[in-house]
Amino acid sequence: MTTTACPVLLVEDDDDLREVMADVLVELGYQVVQATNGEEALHQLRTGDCLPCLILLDLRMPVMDGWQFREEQQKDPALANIPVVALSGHAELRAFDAVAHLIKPVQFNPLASAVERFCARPP
Amino acid sequence: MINACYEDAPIAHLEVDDLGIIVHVNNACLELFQSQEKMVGRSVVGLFSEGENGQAQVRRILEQRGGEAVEVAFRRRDGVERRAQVKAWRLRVGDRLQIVVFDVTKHHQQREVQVTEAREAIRARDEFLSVASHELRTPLAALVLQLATLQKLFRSDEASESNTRVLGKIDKAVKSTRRLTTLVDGLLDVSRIATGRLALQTEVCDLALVAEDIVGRTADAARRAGCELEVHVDGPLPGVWDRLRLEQILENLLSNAIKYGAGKPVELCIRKTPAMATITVRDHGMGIPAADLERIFGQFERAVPTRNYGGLGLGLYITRQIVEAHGGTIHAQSEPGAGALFVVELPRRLEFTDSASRVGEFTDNASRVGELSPGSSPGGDELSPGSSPGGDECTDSASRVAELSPGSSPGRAELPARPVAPGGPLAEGNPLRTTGGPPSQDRELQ
Repeated sequence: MTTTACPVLLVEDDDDLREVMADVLVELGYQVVQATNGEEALHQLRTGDCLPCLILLDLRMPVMDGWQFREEQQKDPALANIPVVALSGHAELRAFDAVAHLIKPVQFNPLASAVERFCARPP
Repeated sequence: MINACYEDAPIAHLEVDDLGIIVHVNNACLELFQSQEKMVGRSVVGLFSEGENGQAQVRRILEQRGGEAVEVAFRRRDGVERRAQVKAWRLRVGDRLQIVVFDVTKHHQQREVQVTEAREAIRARDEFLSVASHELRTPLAALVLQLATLQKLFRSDEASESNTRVLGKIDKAVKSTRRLTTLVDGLLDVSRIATGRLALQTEVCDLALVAEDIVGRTADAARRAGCELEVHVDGPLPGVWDRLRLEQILENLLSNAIKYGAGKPVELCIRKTPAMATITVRDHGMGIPAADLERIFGQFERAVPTRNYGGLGLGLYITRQIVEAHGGTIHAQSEPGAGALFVVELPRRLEFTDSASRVGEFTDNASRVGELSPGSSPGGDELSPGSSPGGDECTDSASRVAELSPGSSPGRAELPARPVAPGGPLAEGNPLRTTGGPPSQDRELQ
């Protein structure tokens, strides 16, 4: 019997950072879906097979930034309940509505425990 | 007509006759200047210092019977030199001239203090930038070395799956340290520019070869951003330039074009005349509003919100400083939505080369600079139809070369060898010094 664990949606425009974060999460045993901006993330959410257990969201991005994405997400009842962990600088810490903030530069342990809180690893 | 209120007004006031002889002074006047006996009956002009045409200016307002206030120096009754604004007027034609004297010394001192404070703040910022960028470089240099050592260790080991994985991660770490180095270098350049310590190391170098190099280095980023990179270079193109700084110009312009024109073609075109080299970089991205075309070359400026695009906003500022240090110019043309065109004009300055440093070994043929867009038609594309100066040269099929092959057959280009003009234009009137000699230590990380 296999259960498909829901993936983590990682939204980050910096290729290097996104890739290394995805690597870390994959090695921890999670599935990861990646998007490079808010618009891509919305597209993934609306077309994907399975809603993510968690969205890791960078705030400063081209095309559609984290704030705009969050607004769109909250407007859509199908997506509004997915928890969002913001990848932010100190300046945005309080202003942004998220279940948790990971301050950049993101460290390994906080990243791992943030994801662990919301997502089950596949068996 | 002069009432008590007037006598005690907190502003120095005098009444003078047609010849400028003082007829009456109020109390404030006595505090500022001297006793009544010493003033009344004498010329008002004598109250003010001769320096900076002070007395002449007061004479002028007497002759004009008023007009604009003038600012002059005077010696206060305690002997201290002060500054005053002097204003004269008549209530009615035929009346005596009324003169008020405002002591504005304090305002001047405050302004001077403000200017000094502002200068000091800028100096402190530049000093901080300089220290910070140097401090950041030290651990960065250590990190770069450690990673290089790790790479060597794992490469020399026999290839296993885990080794390959580790190597992949080290490569990524190396890439990130390179980005960090570029950012820190940007800060360092800004601090050098601000303090006049950015020196050019000029030598004869071939812009076509430099371009080839940079195009090779940028190709990967262009591919990832979905930009076809079209390159047209009219080489060989020797000139007297700082090679590393030329690289920086091209890197900055190309990486900007890729950043703001992702998904669309980017064209690099380099043309020459006997005296000049012209670099144009065109993207087809969002473009730049007319109001921002000049501003983008300023320090920490950009035409897009920082919320959407990363970076320190230093690239074009540094680029302009480098271009101008070479005696060149840079400008941008754009319309929102229609992409942007950056044009750099650099004097080649070959007449300043020393006879000892002949330019040798430049390839005869158009130097082989990579054209990374196999799909484009040979010689057909117009880079800048009708907009950029002499843009048609770009379409010269002879200057279009395919494939990246640096080692083409060596030819010889004898260039005019004349002595260096003493204190040539490179050394004049720009914020960057020009020196010869070995490259500075600061470039070790590159």
